[in-house]
Amino acid sequence: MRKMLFLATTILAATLSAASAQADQKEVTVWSWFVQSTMEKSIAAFEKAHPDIKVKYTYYNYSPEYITALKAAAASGSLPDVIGLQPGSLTQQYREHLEAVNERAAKEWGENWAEKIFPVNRKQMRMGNPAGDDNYYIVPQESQVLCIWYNRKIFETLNIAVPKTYEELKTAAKTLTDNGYIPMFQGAADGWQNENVFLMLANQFSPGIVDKAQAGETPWTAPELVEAMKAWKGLFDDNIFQQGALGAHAYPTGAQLFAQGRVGMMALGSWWMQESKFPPPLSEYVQNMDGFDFFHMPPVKEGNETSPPVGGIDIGYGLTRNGGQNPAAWTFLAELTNGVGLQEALNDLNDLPAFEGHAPKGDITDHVKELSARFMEDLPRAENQRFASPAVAEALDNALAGVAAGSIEPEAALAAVQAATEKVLAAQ
Amino acid sequence: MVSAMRAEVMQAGQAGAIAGRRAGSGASRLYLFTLPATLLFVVFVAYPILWVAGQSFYTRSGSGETSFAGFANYAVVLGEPTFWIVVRNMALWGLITIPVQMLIGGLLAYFIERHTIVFRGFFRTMFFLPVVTSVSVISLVWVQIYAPYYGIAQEYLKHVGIVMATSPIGDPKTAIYALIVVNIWQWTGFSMLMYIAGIANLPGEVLDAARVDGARGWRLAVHVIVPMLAPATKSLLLLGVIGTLQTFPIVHLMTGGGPNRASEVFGTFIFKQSFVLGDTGSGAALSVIVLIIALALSLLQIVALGARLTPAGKERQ
Amino acid sequence: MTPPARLRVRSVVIHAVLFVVLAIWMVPQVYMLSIGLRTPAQAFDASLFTWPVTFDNFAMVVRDNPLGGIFLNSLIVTVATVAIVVAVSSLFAFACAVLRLKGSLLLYTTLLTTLMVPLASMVLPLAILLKNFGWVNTYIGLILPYAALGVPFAMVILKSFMEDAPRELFEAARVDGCNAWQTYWHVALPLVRPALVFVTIWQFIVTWNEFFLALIVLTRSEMKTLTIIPMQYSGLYMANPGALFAVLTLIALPLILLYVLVQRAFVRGLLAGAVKG
Repeated sequence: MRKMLFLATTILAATLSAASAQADQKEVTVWSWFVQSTMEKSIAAFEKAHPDIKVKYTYYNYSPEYITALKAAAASGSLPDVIGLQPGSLTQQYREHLEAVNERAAKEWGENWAEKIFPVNRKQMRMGNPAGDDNYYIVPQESQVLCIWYNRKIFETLNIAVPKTYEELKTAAKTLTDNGYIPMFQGAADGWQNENVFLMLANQFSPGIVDKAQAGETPWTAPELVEAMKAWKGLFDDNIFQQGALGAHAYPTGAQLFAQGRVGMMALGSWWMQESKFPPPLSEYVQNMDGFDFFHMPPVKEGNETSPPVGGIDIGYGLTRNGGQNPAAWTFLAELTNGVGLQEALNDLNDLPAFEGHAPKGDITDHVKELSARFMEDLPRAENQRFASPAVAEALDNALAGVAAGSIEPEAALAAVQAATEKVLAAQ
Repeated sequence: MVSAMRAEVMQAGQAGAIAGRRAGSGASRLYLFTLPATLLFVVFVAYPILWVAGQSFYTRSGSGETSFAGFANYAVVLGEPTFWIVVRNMALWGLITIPVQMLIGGLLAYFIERHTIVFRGFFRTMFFLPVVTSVSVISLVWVQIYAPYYGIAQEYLKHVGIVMATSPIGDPKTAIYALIVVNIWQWTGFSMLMYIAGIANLPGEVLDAARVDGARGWRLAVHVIVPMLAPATKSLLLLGVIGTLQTFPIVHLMTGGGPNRASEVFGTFIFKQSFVLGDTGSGAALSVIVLIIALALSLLQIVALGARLTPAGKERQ
Repeated sequence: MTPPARLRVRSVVIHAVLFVVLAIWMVPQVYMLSIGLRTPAQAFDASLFTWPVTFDNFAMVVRDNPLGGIFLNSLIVTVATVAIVVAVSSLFAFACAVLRLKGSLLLYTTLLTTLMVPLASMVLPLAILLKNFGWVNTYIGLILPYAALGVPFAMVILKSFMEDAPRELFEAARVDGCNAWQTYWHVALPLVRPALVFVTIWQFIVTWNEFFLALIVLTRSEMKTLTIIPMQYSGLYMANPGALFAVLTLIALPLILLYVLVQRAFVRGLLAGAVKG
């Protein structure tokens, strides 16, 4: 028996070493939550341009799967070469496991490489770095701009104009509801969609105020933020969001209903365009984005302006310490964020580029081109969407849910966010 | 009479065990029976737990250095209002889920095993289906069931005059109960199966003896079968406590512990601390606290229910 | 009414009640199957059934996915885990309940307590351990931790059933000259067969559906087990929940089949017990 086992092991070992000897191909391992079908196209384009490199992609859902896998791999030193990252808190959690990319990027794209990145992205790339650390640990691949999408076919049928004031928004919501549509779908069980809408509101009262608040320069209890919080509650009370929004999820429920023409409006972002490139069957609304157009949140209070665009990095990639040992890893990262890989993602309308000078190519209608161009116009002046500390984001999520549920007053809720912020700032 | 007979059987059993111990001359060799389990346990359970316990005494600063923190992590965790919400939710979870599942599962098992023949396999299978269904599907389906306005429950409830204005999982006051309902629905089939195994294991001669005594129908069920299903009940109690403390995916997928942490449980709380906030130290401290609670609960069960190494528990019935 | 007639009425009533309860109980399940049979346009319609049904989702997921390979991975991991758990836990339960070894109760309590620690806290140390053993992306790296986490659960059940078994049988075995091993094999195991079946079903389901550990141990796409499919496909089929539900229904099928097959063993267990008793 033992002999047999020995024999089997030897044969297995021989086969394995033969296989590895044969494979003079370099391999890059990548983990992310990035849509698998699009990533496969990016990888195919990359492997065509670099036939000596093979890319192994592992897809994870963001939560809990991706963040668990990442943390476990970091703790045991088995991170892959390249990992998908969000700027701010997620990048900071893994900073020690990441290579600073400054030198490699300068060599690849020239000394001024960072200036080719849209300003809001550039700011986010260093967000949360300890004082004095001017390195970049994340290379952004795609940007996003938040907005309110609406179903223009439904709007047309019901004779609704794009709302310019809060009253018009309320009327639009009522007309939609009366005709059996969901007015504005909010997946308020998901913290991220709540944050996004709140950022639209807060930046309308005072552009950049959330950034100041999370940096400790303005208290979260400032009157503008309290007003924004009240306006947030108003969206529920005025039946702009659907009934029971607090128990709902944006994905897959809300997105599905929206895509199928059951919903009038939904606060999402530029990434919504990718629906039109998903595998068929697609609804008449999603087909070439025919049914959709977007606007920014109209003034919720007299004297306010329409919300400025809010956005930043959708997704970026980091080179791990393991990946630092593997020259092919950087080659892939560079092509993915600012080369052939990015082009494929853009062609799939996955989102907007993070570097200047790219545009989607291929089979794209004028309507989509126009949408894309408007987003690209918004991007350079977009306000920051991201949080430097997960604890602050978490506190804001709780505050927003609590206020929406009516279980806590806006002032008290914001005071809790302020307390969380102070705790984080004190720890630094 | 029945219980007297049981007691006799148990006494005989005890004698047997003593004899067995004496008979095994190389008594230490008998410990080989426990060796594989102990090995697995030491490597894959005890070591990780010790690692976690170690981590609970360290903290990481913003710049990434790790330093000894004593009981600071514990103080932080216990000082968080969320911790006490979690304790309340876990108590509710266990106190509601376990008895309700036992009751429904036991009734189903009893009626299916003793009053159906042709449909027995059918019922056993159908009621068990939720247990084998993936929790991601269950969460999606139930979120959709609970949704007002576009959900399916309201669609049918409105025909009987009930109007759902909000989603039960979207209201901080009801969220935890709404999740408990889903949990009960999913796992009752498991209790049923356990009781079916218990009923299948009943010694026929005891039932016959009871029947000769004139015990029938409900009397037979309540006075003979229920006490004799005690091992199944005790197992379920134990497994129920374990399941309660292990609760994670349903809550994570349906409410994420919200709204405003109203439905947070240990699983989601630990997950948030160590994975979302990246605070391994306080996540570890929480884990140790759960371990201590678990220890207290198992000791309580052993003391209250008897370790079943003596037949005393049986004799009382 | 004559007694047989009364019995018949009672039987009809019991069946009727069971069917009504079942109908309510099955609503979420029917809804799941029904979503799998819908076009994307109907996916989240507020009704239990929609018409017409389509089998496109099932056809698509079977056509597009190497379900066979993933299925095999799952089967290897699950069968190995179940075998280890049943063997190891029944040995331990026998030591506790029948041999009553000194210290076994202490061990039992320890095992039990640690089982209550949420898996989320064990993920990090287990990842480090498996990396040190070089077991990342191996079957054994998943099988042994699964077994370790499954043993206490199974042990609780087997121990309590063995304790409840008629003790005179063990005594008789001893008189017949059986040693401990023979008693375990020829007396204890057959006696608790319903519980063994139960433990097998349970462990099979748990292992088949587990995803937390699977996703940290098996990080290469080609090693993935079925459990990871829900997350793979919620990304891939974001626009088509019907396809996602179809995949998930297919994953549940083997479990349902297994269950239908082995639940009959309960009946046989019952008969065996009656003969011995």
